[in-house]
Amino acid sequence: MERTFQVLNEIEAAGLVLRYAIGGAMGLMFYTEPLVTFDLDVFVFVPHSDSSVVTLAPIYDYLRERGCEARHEHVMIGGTPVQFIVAYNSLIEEAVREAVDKSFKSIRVRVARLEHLLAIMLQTGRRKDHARLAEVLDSVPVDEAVFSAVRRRHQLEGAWQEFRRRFA
Amino acid sequence: MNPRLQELAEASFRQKGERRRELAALSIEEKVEILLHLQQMTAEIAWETRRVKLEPWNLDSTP
Repeated sequence: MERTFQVLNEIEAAGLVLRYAIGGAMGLMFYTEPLVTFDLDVFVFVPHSDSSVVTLAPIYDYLRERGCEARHEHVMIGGTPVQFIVAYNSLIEEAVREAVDKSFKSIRVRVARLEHLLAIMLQTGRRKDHARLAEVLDSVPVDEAVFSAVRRRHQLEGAWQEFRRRFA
Repeated sequence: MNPRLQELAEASFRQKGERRRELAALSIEEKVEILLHLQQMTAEIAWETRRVKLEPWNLDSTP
């Protein structure tokens, strides 16, 4: 896992991504109990993302030159299938912008804030996201002021009320 | 509800909550160790029950 995080930092230092943040189940695990996942979601800002075609090709080329094999939507980095996801809406963009530095065996790794990860689950809204959201809210402290502000900024109050109706 | 069932339900609920909080307090390095074990178990069950092949991470692999 150290190798995976090291490579993410290298990709950012090389300017292939402007900024990255770990999301998904692995991101959540920095705050919650261990969760079963088989891939690592990495949200990224890429250079020239204002152009009509956004491409991850430079990242894939860089990794291929270093022996990292592409498998479907993943790239194998240090034995971990990594999926790079270009920040695709304002919530993900904010999650990447406000992500925080953490460490794994002394390697720096940037992780989305818990409140953003929760909001992303609310926005995605699959049954498994809601079930996981309910478990997280029951087990770890959440900064309610931050979480409610994120919900308001990204028009998630309706989804939140629906979630509460089903799970509260 | 039958008081015995109610007591069992509440105990189960409390134990699950306590277990989650205990696990959440582990270091991220410990959590990843647990994740690798959970991946192995999940992959074995998926293969035995559904013939679905899931690949646990091999963190010793290079690059």
